[in-house]
Amino acid sequence: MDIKALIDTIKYILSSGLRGSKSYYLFLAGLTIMMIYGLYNWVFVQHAPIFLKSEYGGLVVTNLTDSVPWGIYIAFFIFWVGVAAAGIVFGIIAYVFNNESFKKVAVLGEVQAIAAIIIVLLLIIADMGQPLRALILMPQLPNLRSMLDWDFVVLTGYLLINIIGLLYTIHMYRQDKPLGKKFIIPFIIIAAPFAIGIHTVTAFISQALTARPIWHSPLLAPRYVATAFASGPALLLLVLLIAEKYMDRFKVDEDVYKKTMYVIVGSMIIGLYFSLSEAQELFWYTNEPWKKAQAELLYMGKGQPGYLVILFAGWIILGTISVLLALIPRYRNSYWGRVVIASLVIVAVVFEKTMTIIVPAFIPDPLGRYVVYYPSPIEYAITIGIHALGLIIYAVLAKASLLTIIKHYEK
Amino acid sequence: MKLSVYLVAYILAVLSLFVISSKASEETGIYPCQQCHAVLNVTGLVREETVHDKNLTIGAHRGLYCANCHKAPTVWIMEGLNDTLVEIGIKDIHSREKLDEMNLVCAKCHYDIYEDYTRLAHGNSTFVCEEGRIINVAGYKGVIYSFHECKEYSKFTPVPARACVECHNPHNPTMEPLSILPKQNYVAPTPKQDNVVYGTLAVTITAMSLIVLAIIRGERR
Amino acid sequence: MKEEGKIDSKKRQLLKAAAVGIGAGMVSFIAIERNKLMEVLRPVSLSEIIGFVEAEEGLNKYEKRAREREAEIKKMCRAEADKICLDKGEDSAECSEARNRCEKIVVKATPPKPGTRFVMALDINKCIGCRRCAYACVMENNTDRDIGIEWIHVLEVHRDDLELLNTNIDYGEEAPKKDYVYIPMACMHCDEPSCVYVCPVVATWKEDDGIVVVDYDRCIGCRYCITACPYGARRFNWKKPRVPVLELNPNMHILGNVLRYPHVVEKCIYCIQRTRDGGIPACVEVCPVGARSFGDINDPEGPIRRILEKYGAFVLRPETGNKPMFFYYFGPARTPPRSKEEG
Repeated sequence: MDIKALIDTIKYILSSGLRGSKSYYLFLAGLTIMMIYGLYNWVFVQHAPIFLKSEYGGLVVTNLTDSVPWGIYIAFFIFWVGVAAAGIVFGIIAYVFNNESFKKVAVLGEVQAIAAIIIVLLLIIADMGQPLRALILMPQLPNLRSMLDWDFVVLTGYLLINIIGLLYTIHMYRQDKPLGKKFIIPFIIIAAPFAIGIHTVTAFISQALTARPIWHSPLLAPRYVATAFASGPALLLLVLLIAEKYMDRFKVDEDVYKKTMYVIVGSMIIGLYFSLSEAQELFWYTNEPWKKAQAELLYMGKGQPGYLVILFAGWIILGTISVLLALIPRYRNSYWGRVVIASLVIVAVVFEKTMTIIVPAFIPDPLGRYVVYYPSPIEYAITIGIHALGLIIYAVLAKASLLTIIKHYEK
Repeated sequence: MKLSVYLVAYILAVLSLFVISSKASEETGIYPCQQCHAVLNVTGLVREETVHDKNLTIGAHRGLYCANCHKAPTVWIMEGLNDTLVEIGIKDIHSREKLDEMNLVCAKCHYDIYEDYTRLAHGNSTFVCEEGRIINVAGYKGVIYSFHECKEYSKFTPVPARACVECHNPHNPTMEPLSILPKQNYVAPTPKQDNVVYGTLAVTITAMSLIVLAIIRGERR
Repeated sequence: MKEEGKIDSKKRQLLKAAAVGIGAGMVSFIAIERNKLMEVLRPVSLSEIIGFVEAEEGLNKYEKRAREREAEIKKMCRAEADKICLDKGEDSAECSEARNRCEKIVVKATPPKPGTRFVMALDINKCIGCRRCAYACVMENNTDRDIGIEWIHVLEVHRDDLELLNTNIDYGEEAPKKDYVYIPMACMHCDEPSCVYVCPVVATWKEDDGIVVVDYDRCIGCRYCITACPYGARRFNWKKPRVPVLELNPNMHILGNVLRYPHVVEKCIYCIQRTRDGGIPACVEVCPVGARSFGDINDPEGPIRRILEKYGAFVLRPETGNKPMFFYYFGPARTPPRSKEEG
């Protein structure tokens, strides 16, 4: 694959991904409005002192404080890392277990990984005080003990691997050649550990901090990975259902839905089980004052903010409902059953992965203060904008790659 | 035999009474100070005298005599550490040497604190710079902050702590707490952003309606 | 057949070599001491990466940057002073004072003195919780006045508890209360600083004299150090910091109280601009009861040695393993509580 083919492939992706019906353009236009509004708020308000050297603005417009220094950005960062990590599930089923029906949609996993990692990187950049400095300094002066550097390495590495995979797949499919073993085996061998790695290292960022007792448990990384393998495939499932509905001549085998559902349900059960295990340690037995106070805030709602306990209860209840629904074959195999189960899983994991992970670790803070954190309107605007941008990338890449797949398999 | 026992018991009882009464007279009676004070023409109650505001029958000062500290012929000479004699109550402005000498009086009883003081673990500490001065300014939230104005901010020399009597009242050395300054900030105040609320709502609703429209249109196809 | 045999022998040799290599790797991995392994994992300083050329320039680098910053800040300050003069008139006291301050500004890059190790000790019995240290610190260190970044936080906690979770920072003006102690907390300058370990760009490190410093030119504002600090000692510049010129402290250090950029982390630096040149921190100077002592722990005649020998000391939250270099002790006498009915 030389430079010319590379440019050709990128041109093809953009042209086929951006071409569509009027409703497709409407869809993109809606997302673009949100994206522009969010990015405007980021560049001209939240990061105005950095980008414009202005007196006004700054991260003070967020509700973050010295007590709660990380908020909604890092919370959704963790969720999307999980979604990205799970993109590899389709690849593993397709190529490791040599499943023909999954090979048809494996490229969608790569698309999801790319979109999710871009959301993740944008969320970090929006959260960072000095993003330009970070992009210059992080590769130059790494601190080998800092997990943030390792996270940066694995995230960019995983992004790169998936971009290569996507481009190569589309390039080969356009020429009607199958993916050779020479590509697939190294790709899976490198990408699968990276997929687990991005989420594990993300958990390691918070896991080893003695200052934040509720994170200070070796179960955090396994729980992250477990629920990631529920939410990621659930999103893929939804996308497949939508694609099947809206794209001509695109048919997904029943086998794909069935196996994906098994992965989702299995991961959900493991995730719920890990939550139980953590709750037992944190709530039942520990006498460490901070751990106890933070656990009581999360599980019992003692103190402010009160939304944490609602979110956590939501995770348990919705997660259990989705698992129970998925255990009944009638619902599991019907169209609407699948939509409901996948949506429930995504909502449950959003409840579990976002604010309930980040915020309780900071309340009470190391000096015993309960500084309440609610995201401010600007934080919402920027988060929505970044998600809109990610969805645009997802839609464009998914459209291009699915069109290629359809053409390839029709012949 | 019986009689002799009674006799011994009686004698012992009388003796013990005598001992008790003599002790009582020592406690409630006259201190030797008064004998001197009569000579020195100083009058006043010795056990609870007004100058020191101290009761010499209770607490840490129990059993002290005036002469433990004051040395004849006048009260203005006191005994300091290592049997030095220090003149107090002089009228002039006290020189540094004089103050150091007077510290020895305090050190006689409060030796540990004196040692803390000499090693700057007790008392105020500060520093000076060449051709510089210290200006006390009322600053942030009403604190009196010592602003060091120097010619060059490169070489500072530490200054020994101020003498005992410069901070403590010698007659009532316990320090009363100063006023408490206003409460602290620890939450960065977020500016009001109502326009952002409306903007976000408007944008989200517009965008969502576009997306929903797209979905409906797409389905009708 | 012969050819196949050849291939087999080649394969076998390869396998043998691989086995020997893996074995050697395992043995060396096990044999390597844990300390050496930790040394490998220690944060790498700039001089180590770029080599001795940078190390030689290491001192000059900060000198150079300090001079650049000095020129920058002077320029900024003069502009502000001109505004004041325009506002209040050329002959006003404010005008001349502002001009004077601007000319006095000096940004130093004093290196650590070898053999010193700065430590602070605080007598909890004496402290009355008057918050003077916190506010003098603001004056000395040119922190932002809009948000009111205060490096020292004074906490009220019950005597028979001493658990930092049950502290109160918003106590009123009736302090000191009976049965309560007051614990001022700032950076503990730990020996094993978790903030330094987590910094992704080595923007914060422990100097040879024990002061944990932040390089404001390098900090990327990720706030990971705030998350990692078990003492809540680090503060973030959530906006562009503003210091009135009339309250500007002209005595600045490039790693200390030099004016900060927006979105960088800052914290107590033991008044590096004073202590490196022989002074003492502002909080020690202002304390009305003399509860704070500051000195070199290696100085046998200094206050710290005296306190450790005479009274002993403890540190806060020792279970985190950070080994703080900020000692608390219960001194010989207690400042009496404010006289009240309950007192």
